[in-house]
Amino acid sequence: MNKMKTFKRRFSLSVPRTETIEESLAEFTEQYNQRNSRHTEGLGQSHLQLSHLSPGSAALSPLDGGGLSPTSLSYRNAAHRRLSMEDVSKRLSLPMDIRLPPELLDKLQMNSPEDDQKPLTRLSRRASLSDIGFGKLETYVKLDKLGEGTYATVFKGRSKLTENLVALKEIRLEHEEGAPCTAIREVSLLKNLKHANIVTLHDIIHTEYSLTLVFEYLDNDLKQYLDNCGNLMCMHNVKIFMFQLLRGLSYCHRKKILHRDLKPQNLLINEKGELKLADFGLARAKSVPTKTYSNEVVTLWYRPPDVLLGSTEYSTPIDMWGVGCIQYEMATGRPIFPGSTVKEELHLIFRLLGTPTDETWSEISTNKEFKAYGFPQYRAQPLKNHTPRLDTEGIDLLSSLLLYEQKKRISAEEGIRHSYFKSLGERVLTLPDTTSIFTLKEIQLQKDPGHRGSIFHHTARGKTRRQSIF
Amino acid sequence: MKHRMSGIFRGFPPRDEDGPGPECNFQSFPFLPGHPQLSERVRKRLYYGLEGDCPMENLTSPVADIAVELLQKAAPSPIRRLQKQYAAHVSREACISPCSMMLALVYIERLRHKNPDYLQQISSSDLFLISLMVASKYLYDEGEEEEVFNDEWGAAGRLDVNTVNTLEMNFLHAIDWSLYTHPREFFEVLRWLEGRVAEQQGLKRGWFTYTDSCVLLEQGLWQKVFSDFCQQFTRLACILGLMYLTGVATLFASVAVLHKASGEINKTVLVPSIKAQSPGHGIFIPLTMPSPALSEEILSPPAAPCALEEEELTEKRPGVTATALYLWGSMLTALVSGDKGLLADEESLPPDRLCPFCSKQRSTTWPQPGSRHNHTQHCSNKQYVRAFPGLDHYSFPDTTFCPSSPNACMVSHSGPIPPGAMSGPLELKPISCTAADFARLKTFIVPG
Repeated sequence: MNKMKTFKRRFSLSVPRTETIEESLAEFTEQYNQRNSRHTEGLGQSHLQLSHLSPGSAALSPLDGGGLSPTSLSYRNAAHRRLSMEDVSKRLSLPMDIRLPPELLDKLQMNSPEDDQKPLTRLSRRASLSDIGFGKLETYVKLDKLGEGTYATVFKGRSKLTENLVALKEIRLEHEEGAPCTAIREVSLLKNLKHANIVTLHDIIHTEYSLTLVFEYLDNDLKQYLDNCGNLMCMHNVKIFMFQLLRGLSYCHRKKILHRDLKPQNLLINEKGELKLADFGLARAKSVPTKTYSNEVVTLWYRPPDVLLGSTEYSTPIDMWGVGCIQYEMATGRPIFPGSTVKEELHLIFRLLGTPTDETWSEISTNKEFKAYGFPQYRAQPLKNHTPRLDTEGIDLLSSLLLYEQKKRISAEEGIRHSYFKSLGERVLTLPDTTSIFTLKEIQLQKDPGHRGSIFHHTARGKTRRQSIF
Repeated sequence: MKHRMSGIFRGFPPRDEDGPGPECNFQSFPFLPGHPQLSERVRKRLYYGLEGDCPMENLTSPVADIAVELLQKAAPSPIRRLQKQYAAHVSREACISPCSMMLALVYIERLRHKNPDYLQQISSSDLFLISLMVASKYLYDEGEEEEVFNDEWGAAGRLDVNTVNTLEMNFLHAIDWSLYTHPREFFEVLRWLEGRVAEQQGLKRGWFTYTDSCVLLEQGLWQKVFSDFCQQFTRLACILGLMYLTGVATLFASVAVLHKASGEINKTVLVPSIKAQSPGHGIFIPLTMPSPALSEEILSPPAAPCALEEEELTEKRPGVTATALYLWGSMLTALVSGDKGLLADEESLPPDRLCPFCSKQRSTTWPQPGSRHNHTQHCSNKQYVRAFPGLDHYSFPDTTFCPSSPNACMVSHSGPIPPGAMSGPLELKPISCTAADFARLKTFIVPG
């Protein structure tokens, strides 16, 4: 039981990262085995080890820290232990207060001293993960329902292992259909996406009747956030959210994954202000050149004009239009093109940005769809008049996002280097993928002028595919 | 159902590019070919036939052969062993696109590394069906209406839905849901598949089509084999070319010597004929001499025209038939002896010295076993080369002048032309060939 406490302390020291629980636990099991062996070696060292848990001691390197341990043996042990501690704090993520089942402890104790030095095989790792409780429905307690779509229901839940809140996306499996394509794609893409601005998939529970995806839980989505602050966001926060959105998106695009359903409802925000892309049900990888792509993508309000006109040959710029719409929405508090039909949507777009001509959109005059609509000739209105709160650089970014021609739209990678984000400093650009920008001191949310306290409405979190298509 | 499925796997119809072309859409990934390009490549190389309207919605026989072979190897379980007939049936019923097939092969490869235990348990027929099903589901993107359900896959594979569902669940678990594929992996598999198809079809047929050879040339191993072959071939060609040139050079050298000899005997006949020839050829000299394109390859046209001219010359001089006969005889002997000498020479040299650009080596080791006259002639030719600095840089063997360029004949009769006439580069000097000239020339060339 003493050992258990040690582990708990270790875990509670570690910072939550975006690695999946699976990895961290496998790591944990290995650590456990290693420690067990050392336990037989010298029980007397355990107090020493505890002293190492204080973060300050991490500054001591094993080489010059020789004075810390009286004998060479204990020095070696200390060095070894320190290393594994670093490793733990680096790699362990979620299990803050993990409660391991007693059977597992017994099992781990049984095989400890002999084969502890050997790395775990894949199979035994998976088996131990399953023993811990991963991939099992009973590990998670369902709390309130957060939203429901035609094929999936999202619950707020709690993990019995970590006592952390999770979001459970439960997909009912139709007997004839098997695992739906959207789910297959969402899972396989999210498994590849490990980034501070992309929602983390912790676990998958696949049974005969349902497929449950366990995500990290975030309090709000951007839509709710906007509602909560009375659609009046602080412009500094707009910038921080925009940066995180573009950062997450540039990571996806680097991996050749298109999100294809960007909208405020799919951008989750936690109390720290971290923004994460969610709902990859419509996403697809463009890494394998395939035939047509569906053009029933992207919620109507955020759908780019080329897709509205029926284009199925699209690439990463399809997401950039939506980013522009979201920027406008954050800056003004209202959606930019709230159309209800394709025609109305196009009409709204052309009224604001001007009816496209061959100069603004090459070869548009030969587009049959476009000609069939017969829109009147509108002049482009200056965006400044519509978003007075956005500064000049912000307007510049917005206008390079809302361009008719795909290839002219700014890319996510270029976007995060845009002068609009200069005030955030240089360091945000050099962060590792899995580090949140809020680890930097200079990045802090400011109070939104219209904030009404934390009244969260957990309704209609558009986490399902069918909801998201009009 | 078939209709529905065919909608989903609607092969790769060549789309007419109304809107923006694929290049601009793929701008973010410049190394990825657009879909039309890929389908064109697949159509050609995986034997989908040349008709543009032929939909690519099942597996071609060569591809099926290879898939069956690979799957049998990957999943060695003897139960429900995959047969080509079954593979063909499934691919026809489910309208499998070549892209799904390749993706399925990527997954099987991945399983082989990640989870070999799973492959031991599953039968190859099931693996075939389920990997294709998951690959198509992953790729599928045609809107909700056209989704293919597992029961339809079950019907295509003659399995019931429950089995298909369980298989799917196990497969996804075994591969740990990692279905995302990097383009590099995909194209690796495509290249491998193309290579196997080309190899197998070529061997079956007994010869390789143009496309087959193109495909095979892209493969690493074949590329190496081919380049080795090329190297050997070039080496052989170099040796042979050199031998030939040496022979021809010796021939002309001896002819020239004989001319000289006969000229001393019969000046009156010989001198006018040279006078008639040389100015015409002299025109060519400035034009062709500086050309750096003179390389070994162009140096090999046959000496036939020269020989012909030689004959004409002899015909023009009916009075010297005896001389002509003697000339032929000496020519032949010179040829034979020159070849022999050269062969001995070549063998003694390491092969890399035989490369056409290090002919210096050759020219220095040029001991001709021919007659004394021959040797003298050789030296005189060398003088000519030196007279042109550009050529000197290339350091051609003396023989380079002989048969190849338009001035070949000039060289062949160049014996009497004094070096001064040649070295004055772009001027045509009247050439007076007299016996005195010859004597002077001789002393100039061979001062000893």
